[in-house]
Amino acid sequence: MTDTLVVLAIGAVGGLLGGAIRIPGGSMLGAMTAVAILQLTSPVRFQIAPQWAVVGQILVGGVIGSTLDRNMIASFRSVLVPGAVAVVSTLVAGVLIGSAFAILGFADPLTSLFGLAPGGMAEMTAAAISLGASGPLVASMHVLRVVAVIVVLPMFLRPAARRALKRRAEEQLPAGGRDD
Amino acid sequence: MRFAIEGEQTGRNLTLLAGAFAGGIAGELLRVPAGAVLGAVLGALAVNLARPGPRLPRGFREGGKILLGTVVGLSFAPELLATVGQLLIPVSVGILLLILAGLGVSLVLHHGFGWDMPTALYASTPGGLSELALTSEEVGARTHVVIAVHTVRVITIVILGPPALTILIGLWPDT
Repeated sequence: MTDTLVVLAIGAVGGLLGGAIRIPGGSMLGAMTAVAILQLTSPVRFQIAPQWAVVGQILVGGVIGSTLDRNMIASFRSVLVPGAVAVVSTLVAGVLIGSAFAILGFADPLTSLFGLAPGGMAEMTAAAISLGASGPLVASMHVLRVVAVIVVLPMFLRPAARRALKRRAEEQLPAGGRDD
Repeated sequence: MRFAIEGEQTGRNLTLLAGAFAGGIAGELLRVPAGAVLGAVLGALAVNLARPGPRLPRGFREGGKILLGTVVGLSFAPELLATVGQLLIPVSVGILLLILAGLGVSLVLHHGFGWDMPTALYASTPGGLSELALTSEEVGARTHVVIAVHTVRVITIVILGPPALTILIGLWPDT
């Protein structure tokens, strides 16, 4: 009981701090880091009931389910084909890369596939834990992915996107000129 | 008046949570792969379709993420840190390939479907939904399209991923 209270309190403080400093995946990353530090530095090994993970999974899943309504489904329809191309291609790429990772022996197949699946960090970690994969390893792999995408990728994406926007503006300019 | 609105929202949240917990617990009891997440998605969705209304506030998801982070943090041990260190380069290569695949998809969306490049780039990048939505707005991408594509991506993988990966693991040579 004391273990549970201590661990939940440390996790909550870490999670709130992580959320407050607005780092990608901040609340989960903050809680994970704070509790990992507690676990790694303490002479005793802390444990809490596994049902807490189930509660976390249900909360994450519940919020996703509550975002889906008829309007959302209608907005998906407007981008159905290209959206499906984007989703299916990204998922297939994730499965292929995860499979290669497992075949090369870096991690077991379940951990590799969930660790490199392009789903949300919390969602993939939740699913991985429930299927018996290494939760910390999957979470660590997703931390790297999100950090790479959010921190590093904009350095390349922003200039590319700005060039495309500039080109679009230039294409629209002659049309405006003709009106004059 | 304000109390009435707050009471309505609280009732709505409790109904959605009841649906999520009923679905999640059923998923766990029925031993569905990743049954808690999947069941909760379907339970809340059922409530939402039966009684449309506002979604659960973001705080619930943050609470779930904090709980998951807490549970994951407890599993850390010195040996695991060493493993994470060893996997840093291979995982980075895997992520780079994932990003390159996303860039390839963005070219298909741009040339094949006429999407503007900022929207195509941000819709096919495998990042976090909220972060991508924010940064995509900054570069003039069509944010609603980016959000729609990423929402479908995450939902698809949450719903189809666990059963599909379980089947794939069953076919794995060493298992």
